[in-house]
Amino acid sequence: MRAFSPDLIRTDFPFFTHHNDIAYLDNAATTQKPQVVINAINRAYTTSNAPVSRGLYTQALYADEQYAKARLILCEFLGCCDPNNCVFTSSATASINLVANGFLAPRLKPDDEIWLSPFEHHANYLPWQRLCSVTGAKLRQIPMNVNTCEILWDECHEVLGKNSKFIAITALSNVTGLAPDIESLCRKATIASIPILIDGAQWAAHHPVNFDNLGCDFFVCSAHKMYGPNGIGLLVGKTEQLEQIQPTQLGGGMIDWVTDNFDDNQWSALPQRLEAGSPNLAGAIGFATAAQYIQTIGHPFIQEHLTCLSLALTAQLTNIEGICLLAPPSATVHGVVSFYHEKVHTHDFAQVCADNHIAIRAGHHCAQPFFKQLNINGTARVSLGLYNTHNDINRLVKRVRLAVEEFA
Amino acid sequence: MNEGALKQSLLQHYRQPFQRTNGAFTDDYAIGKGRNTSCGDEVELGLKLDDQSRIIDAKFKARGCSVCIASASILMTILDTMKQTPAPQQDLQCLKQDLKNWLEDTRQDLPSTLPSSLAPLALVKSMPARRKCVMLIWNALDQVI
Repeated sequence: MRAFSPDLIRTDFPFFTHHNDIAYLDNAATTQKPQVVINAINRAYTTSNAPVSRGLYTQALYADEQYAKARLILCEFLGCCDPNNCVFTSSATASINLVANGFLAPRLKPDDEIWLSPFEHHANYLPWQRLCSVTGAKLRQIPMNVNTCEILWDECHEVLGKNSKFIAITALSNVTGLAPDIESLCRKATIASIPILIDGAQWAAHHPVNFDNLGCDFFVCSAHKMYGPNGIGLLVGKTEQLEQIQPTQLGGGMIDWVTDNFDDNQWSALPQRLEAGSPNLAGAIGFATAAQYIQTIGHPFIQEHLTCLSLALTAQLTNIEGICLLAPPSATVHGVVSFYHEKVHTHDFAQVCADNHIAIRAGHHCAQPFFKQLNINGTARVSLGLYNTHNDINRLVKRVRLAVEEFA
Repeated sequence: MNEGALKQSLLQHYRQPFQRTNGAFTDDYAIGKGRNTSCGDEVELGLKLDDQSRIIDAKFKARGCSVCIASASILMTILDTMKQTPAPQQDLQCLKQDLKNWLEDTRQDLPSTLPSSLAPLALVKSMPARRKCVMLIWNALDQVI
């Protein structure tokens, strides 16, 4: 494990060579890519490019090897013992849609309940909302304290009640920065025999995941949010749950035998059955390389760094008159911090930052149902990455302070 | 006008918007609404017309960023100059299109077809994402003219 220093880490990312004055604080939207990942993708196209599971020639067999190896690396990274239970998808969004339409849709009945946290991303809200509108099931949200956005676990016994048929919850909210106690929820859901999906899109980059120990039924993540390429994600699942997913994407590579009658078709085994179409080989290789890159830095250092930066950020922001944090500083230590001001629009914050080469996000962050519960339009969001420094934070705070002076 | 002056002018419209109201529009106002779903900005334009479609009064309500509010305020000043102008609809539609074209053309100075009160919006030319903020009130105007 190499010594960790964000300034040193920054040199691993060519983006910062081309934009050496940027404070990139929008990592929850997408992360930058280290040179090793870019090189791996480049090598994939220059030396490994051949169809996966479709050829008998040397290069095709090598492509098969590389794809399997990438799957294995990611499987181990996420603490899953069986690589057949790691399904490549195009993204976390695609993974969630697959579970919604392929696993839950066939078994959902009117008045069944799907439970979500109060601050889910649209990707982990809309598929379930549609399912409910089609089946007559009910979409429920775990209540929260509207002042702190913290989940009121004591007021949500129904999430484990007899009508609850599925739970989908984020491991780390892209808007509040809060990390619900998913370990406890997974344990309780397992006891109650309620399938549970964890949206790890924001979590997996900076926090260790042990799928087998966590006890959830499904776990999803996206490569581009963890220093990997766009266009590829993962669905990790328990064997018995994945086996029950009816393929929603049909095409090449996922079927063993096509018959005259659709119902008699023989689908391939897992995970191929759920990976229709030509595999994204370069994406898989890049994804695996990103996971290995994270491992070279090590989660303990990453978490300590993000906690330290988060606390420094929230401490400074709370010193600016009128600035409100969406959630308590003690709870937002994972690198995502949202704030707002009664008199300054979030767009104005974001523009002032942008004019000074500071990249933050402003708006509803693809979490409109969450903001409807609060009396605010949106927030400005800072989301930290490996390469962020205290200097980045200080620059941001300075501009936030100036924006308040100018617009408030 | 240099950039600093443009910015001050824009901020002035933001801080002290012309014809901004918080009250409800009475029934004799035609109302147009605009909403930017990406940021939640909302505008409501109330236009009072006589029986010959001449503008008697114009006001707006808004929840939005500085550009949104300033743009609405500037439009109100324009509408104020057009009071009693017979059938201003076509003029306003041409203004809207010229404004849109001007904002999208980063090179172009304020054309003579646009009133000088729109000059502060030149700052938005370098911010493509903020064009929606400018046009929100103009789109609401479309609904009532």
